[in-house]
Amino acid sequence: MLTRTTGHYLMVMDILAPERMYTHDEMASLRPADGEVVVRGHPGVIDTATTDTRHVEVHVYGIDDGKPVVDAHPVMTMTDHTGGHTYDVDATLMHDIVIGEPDSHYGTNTRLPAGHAFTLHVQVGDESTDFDGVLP
Amino acid sequence: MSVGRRRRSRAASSLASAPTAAAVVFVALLAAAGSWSWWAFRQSHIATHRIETQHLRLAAAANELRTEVAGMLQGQTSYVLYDGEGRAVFEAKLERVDTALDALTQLVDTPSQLALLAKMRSEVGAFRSVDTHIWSALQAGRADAARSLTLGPNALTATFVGKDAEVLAGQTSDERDAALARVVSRLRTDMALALGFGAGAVAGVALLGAVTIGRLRRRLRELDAAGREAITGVRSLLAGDEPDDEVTRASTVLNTLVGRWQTAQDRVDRDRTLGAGFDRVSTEAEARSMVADALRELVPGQSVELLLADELEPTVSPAVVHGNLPGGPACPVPGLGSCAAVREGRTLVFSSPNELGACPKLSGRPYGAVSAACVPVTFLGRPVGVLHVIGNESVPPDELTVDGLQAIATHAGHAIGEARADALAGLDLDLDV
Repeated sequence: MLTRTTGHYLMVMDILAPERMYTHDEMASLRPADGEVVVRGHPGVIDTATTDTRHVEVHVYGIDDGKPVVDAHPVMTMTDHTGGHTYDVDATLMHDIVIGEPDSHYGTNTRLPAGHAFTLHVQVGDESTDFDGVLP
Repeated sequence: MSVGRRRRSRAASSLASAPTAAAVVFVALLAAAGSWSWWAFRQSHIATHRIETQHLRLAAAANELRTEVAGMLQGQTSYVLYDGEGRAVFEAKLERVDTALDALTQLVDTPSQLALLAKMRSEVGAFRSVDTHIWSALQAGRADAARSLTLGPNALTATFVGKDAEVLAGQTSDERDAALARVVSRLRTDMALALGFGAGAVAGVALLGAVTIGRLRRRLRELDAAGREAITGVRSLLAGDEPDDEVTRASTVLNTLVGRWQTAQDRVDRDRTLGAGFDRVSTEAEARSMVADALRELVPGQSVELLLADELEPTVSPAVVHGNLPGGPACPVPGLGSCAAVREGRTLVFSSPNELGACPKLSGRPYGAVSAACVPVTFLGRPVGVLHVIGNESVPPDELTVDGLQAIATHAGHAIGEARADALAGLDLDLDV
């Protein structure tokens, strides 16, 4: 978990185990006990053929009010330095089923192998920051 | 005999030493199996204790971290609600979270545990980073922003740390169960091997016992057979069968001993019988008759003669003739002084007239070449005759027969001498009268 600050935002990035992401319709029909509820965007799938899938999420808070920012349209770009490629990461707005809206964040499930060095570039409006790390 | 004894000793030694050595080996195997079992139990006990201790320490440290994280969030919430009052307390609680993380660092060792620990450290770092924004907002008079950041990202961060600590404790339990399962599996394997080892050793001992008992039974049967053969097998001894194994040698020795004992007993019985018979005679004629009876019994199929010298004549004449030749052996010796046996004062036995040193009187017999035995007959040291027996060439009388001839000669010499002395005494009495 890493934190970065821009002019108006406090961003907290985390890379977790893959999370099941449900639409509202799926929530109504499946009534899952855990996972993420998609508020805007597309649910990210979990590739069961590999163990390299991760849940990349970025919490964006307004520095002025400390509240989750839910009306932004971030652009997220992942650079896998070890793998030698760069790709866009869907900035799907979602929150934890149990915690609810206070957990609102952006991201999706994507492939990122263990041990790879990475940089996640996040741009919100005209403000951006980079999260650098090595996946354990 | 000494060689036989050594062989018997080696045979007995090999019979006894092989099972003994094997028994020692099997007992050693049993002891090894027992030691193996004890070692496996001991190792499993140590491993179980270590795993349980490690699990308890890790679980306790993870729970301690959860408690400290909750306290950290509570301390932050408190100083945010009270406009910065109690910030020092919060910082102290933040220090305690770091201490709890350090304690966990000392205990984790698996890759997954290390990854979880790194994640929790990053989360606490994020918490600390957000706290700087909260403190700044609070100092800038933006209490609402400070509260939102506290209830928003930092509450989530603290929740994450708590969940990860819980996962670590749970993972520890799973790993403990897996480690204990491995210990039990290893113990089962060791015990199965040790039991198999021990069972094999027991089976080996049983097999060895069966083999040994079988050998002993076989030996006892052989000895029993040898004993029976020894009792009834004097003939085989006399036939000179070559011993070809230890048992046969043992039976031969027993045969020899029994044979000698039997021979000695026969001599005693014969002497007693002869002595009693000759004691009853009172005349030379009766003595001659007694000699004839004794020879008939001793050498029933052979030609034998008793040549006696008269007191007054140096020549000898047949006093007793017995056997398949009407005239007896008919030794041509003219008188006792010409008889080699009488001159030498001992029994002479010849296999053939053609052998070196044979009596010259044995040659030229009308019935062909024969074997012979010549036994001097004496009375009070003086020769009175000779007992002469013949047989097939190359088959001289055996030791038992010669011994019997000597006994007859002894008793005959005494009886005839006594009878002649009595006769002379009677003649003197008659002359005196």
